[in-house]
Amino acid sequence: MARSLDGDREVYARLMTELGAVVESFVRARFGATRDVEFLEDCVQEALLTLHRVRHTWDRRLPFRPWLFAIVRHKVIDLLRRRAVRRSEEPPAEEPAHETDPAAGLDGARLLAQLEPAYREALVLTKLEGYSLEEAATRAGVSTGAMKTRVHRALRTLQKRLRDENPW
Amino acid sequence: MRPRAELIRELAAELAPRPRLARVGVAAAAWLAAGALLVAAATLATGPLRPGLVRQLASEPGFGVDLLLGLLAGGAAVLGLMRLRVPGLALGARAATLGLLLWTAWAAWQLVELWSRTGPPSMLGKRDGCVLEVLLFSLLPLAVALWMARRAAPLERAWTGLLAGLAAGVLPALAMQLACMDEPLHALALHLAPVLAVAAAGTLLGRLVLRRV
Repeated sequence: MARSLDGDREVYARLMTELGAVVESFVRARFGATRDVEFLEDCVQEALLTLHRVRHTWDRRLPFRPWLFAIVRHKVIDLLRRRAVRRSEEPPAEEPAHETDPAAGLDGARLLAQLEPAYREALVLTKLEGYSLEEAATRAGVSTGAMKTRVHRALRTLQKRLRDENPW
Repeated sequence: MRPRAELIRELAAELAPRPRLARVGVAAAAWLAAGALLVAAATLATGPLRPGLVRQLASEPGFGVDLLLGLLAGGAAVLGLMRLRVPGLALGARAATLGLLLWTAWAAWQLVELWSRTGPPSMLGKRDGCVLEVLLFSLLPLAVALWMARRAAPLERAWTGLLAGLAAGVLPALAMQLACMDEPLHALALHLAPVLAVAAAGTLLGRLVLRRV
């Protein structure tokens, strides 16, 4: 990183390629083998763009990993939020998007699996299964407002746990 | 969505050296020094310091504690701010806790002073518009603090703004403790409380003017 900050483009390209793989495995490890490949790639590319834009904020005297993963965590949560907002603004689908067991999306998703059942259900329905807030609320048997609150709290909890893990 | 390799090629192609961010301590000290000078100049331009200030500093340890708590609150706030603008250095709530606690201790000290003081309050040095001065004199330091944060990458914009407001509000509040009348309730309501208003404004501005990382 230090060499690339000095303007070495080759080193920078190599570093970015490696970081792309690191970010991808970070997202996979925490959110499971998601069916949504587009979301995964969005996370990686958004993270790379952000790392590029704020590269001057890394202090060479400090370890690289806390800086890197703070940005990656932030971007992933931000993308999840933006996705939730987009979906809540979309008109409800005429037919339910999926009839599969929502828990099926949890394979390997350790952090999701650790959430309280109501929060996990809210995230799985809105993020992994792709239901709008209204549809998810109907399926869970709660009001849209309650579903919105659950999604918000689930994201906050996820964000906190991602931070608390801090294995770097 | 374009292929990842293409994105990386583009990023590498536009790579150019960028000026490094100043270290946390250096940035905090620079802001504190510039802000203190600015607020001191503004305070002196609008009126004299309180008569008998030097004697009070030498003879009243409580007044020294008062100033020290204010200084510590401002210092903790600006240090927290400079840490928050760098990803991975601090978390918003934790970074703000010390500054807010010290402000609370500073406010609580005014109550201690109120209960322990004997005799009538002194009106010496009273400035009629001290509350407005606290608010006005904090504007430029707040703008500079937000500009410094904007040049970096604060992940938590509201907390960053709050700390910018807290630090910017403490400076003129301290100046008023030196220039305006020395009466604990007056200080609490018209010097220290406006700091919270500046911190609230900073929180809002932080969300508005700081870039989403």
